[in-house]
Amino acid sequence: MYIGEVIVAVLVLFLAIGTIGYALSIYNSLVALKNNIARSWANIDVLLKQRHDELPKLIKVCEGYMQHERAVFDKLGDARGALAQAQTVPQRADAENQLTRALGQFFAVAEAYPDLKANQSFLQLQARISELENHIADRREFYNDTVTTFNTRIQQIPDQYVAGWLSLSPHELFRVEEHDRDDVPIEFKLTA
Amino acid sequence: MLRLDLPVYATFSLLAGPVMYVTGFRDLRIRRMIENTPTARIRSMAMGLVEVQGAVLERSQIAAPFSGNRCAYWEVDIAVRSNRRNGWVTVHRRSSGQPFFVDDGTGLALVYPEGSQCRVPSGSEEECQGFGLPDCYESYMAEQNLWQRHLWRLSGMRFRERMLVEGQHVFILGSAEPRAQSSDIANPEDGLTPEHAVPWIEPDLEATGTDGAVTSAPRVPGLSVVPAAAMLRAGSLGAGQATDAFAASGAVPGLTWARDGARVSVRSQDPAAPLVPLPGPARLRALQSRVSAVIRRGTNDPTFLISAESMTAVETSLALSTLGKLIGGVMLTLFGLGFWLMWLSAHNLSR
Repeated sequence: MYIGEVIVAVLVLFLAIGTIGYALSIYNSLVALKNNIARSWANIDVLLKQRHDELPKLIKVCEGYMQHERAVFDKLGDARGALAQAQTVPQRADAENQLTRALGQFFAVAEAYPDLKANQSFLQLQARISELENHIADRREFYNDTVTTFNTRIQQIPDQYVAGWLSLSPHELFRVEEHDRDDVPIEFKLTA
Repeated sequence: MLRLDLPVYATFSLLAGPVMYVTGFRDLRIRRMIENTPTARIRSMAMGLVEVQGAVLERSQIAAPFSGNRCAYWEVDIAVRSNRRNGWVTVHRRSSGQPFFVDDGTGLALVYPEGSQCRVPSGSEEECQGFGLPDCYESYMAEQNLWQRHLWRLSGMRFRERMLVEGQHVFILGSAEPRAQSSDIANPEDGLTPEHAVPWIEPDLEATGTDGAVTSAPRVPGLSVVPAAAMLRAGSLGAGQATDAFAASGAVPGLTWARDGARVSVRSQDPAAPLVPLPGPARLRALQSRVSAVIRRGTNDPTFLISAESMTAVETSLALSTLGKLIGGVMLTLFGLGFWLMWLSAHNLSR
C-alpha cells in the first residue's frame, strides 16, 4: 500500500513536471518566435539603411549626366523620404515598394545615357544596389516565413491556449501592392 | 533468492531515468528551434542562429581514417561487445575538425564542424574479432595512442565510419558569424594527408607559390604530394613521371596522376576508381571569395546540428526521441524506485 502510494505520487510528479515543462516549452517557443519576427524585421531595416545610404551617391554620380530628368530624381527623393518616415509594416512595405519602383525607373532612364553607363562609379553603384535589392527580397521572404510560422502556431492546438493567455495576435505579412503585380509596359522605338 | 543483477539494474534505472527525462526536454527544445527557424538563403542570411540547406563542397581534401575515401567530413566510432548487455559499448569516438563549404545556390558558407551534433546516416560498419584486426583499424588505434586497445581486442570489436562527401545535401542549424577578414596561411593544396608522404621525392620538389607557380619557398616536410601537384600544374613535371616516381617509391602504391590543362587529378589505390581533381589554389580562392559567413557552434546558443537527413526526417526523429525519452525516463525511474522500495519494505519486515 505504502509502496503503491509512493509510486503513484512519483508518477503524478512526473506528469506534473511534464505538463508544466511542455507548457513552458510552448510559451518559450512562442516568445522566441515573436522575437524572431522583430529580429527579421530589424534585419530588413539594416539592408534598407544600406540602400538608403547608397542613394545620395547614386544621385551625385548621375546628376551631371541626367540634368533633364528632374522628375526621376524627384520620385527617388520622395520615395526615400517616405521610407524614412514610415513606421508600421504596411507603411514601410508601401514606401519600400515605391522606392523599388522609383529605382527601376531610374535605371531604365539611365539606359538612355551611354556616357553614364560607361561610368565605373555608376556601374559599381548599380551593382551594389541590385545586390542589396536581392538581399532585401530574400529577407522579406524570410520575414514572411517567420510570420507564417508564428501565425500558424498561435492557431494550432494546444499552442492557441498559451497564445490566448499571452494575448498574441497574428502578424501582418509583407505584401506586394496590386500595381506592383501589373505588367511593365515596354515600348520599342525604331530608329531609322 | 534475489538476483544480483536486479539491484544494479534498479540503481542504474533510478539514476538514468531522470536524466533521460531531462534529455527528452532538450530534444523537444531543439525540435522547436528547428520548427521556429525558417531556412535562410546564404547570400542574405543575418548573423545569429540560422538554418541553411545546401550541398557540401570540400575545402581541403581529407581522407576518412578507415576506408581512406575522400570526403569533406568524417566521424568514426569504435565499440566493443558487451557480455552483460549483449550489445555494443562505444569506447572511442572521433570526428574531423576541418571546415567545409556549403553551397545553397545563392551563396557559400564556411562550416566549422567542431562541436556539432552530426547526423550522418550513410557509412560503413564492420565487426571483427579483436585478434587479427585489419591493418586500417590497427594502425588507426596505434596512431591515436589508444592504449586500451589491447584490452578491447579481448572481445569482438565494431568499427563505424560515416562521411560527408562533396555534393551531399545537408541541413545545418547553427550560429552564423561574419566571415573573418584574414588571409589563408595554410597551403591550400594540402589535399592529401601526411600519410601519403614520399620522402625521397622531397629534394626535387619545391613548395608552391600563388596559382601553382613554383617558387623557392621552404619545403613542407612530409607533404610531397603538395608540391608534386603544383609542379604538374606548372608543367615542370609530367603526369607519367609523377606516376612512375610515386610507384617506384613504394610509399603510395597505385597512385596515378593526370593533368588536363590546369586541372590536376589523382587516383589512389583502386585502379578502377575515377580520377579525382585536386583542388588548386585558384579554385579555393574563388570559393573563399564567395563565402558570405561562417557557421559554427555559437557561444550564446550552443545548438549546432549538421544533418545529411532531410529537415522533416530530423524533426520526426527528434519527436520520436522526445516521446521515447519522456516515457522511458518515467518508466525507468518507477522501476528503480519500485524495486528499492520493495527491497526496503522486505528488509524492514524481516527484522
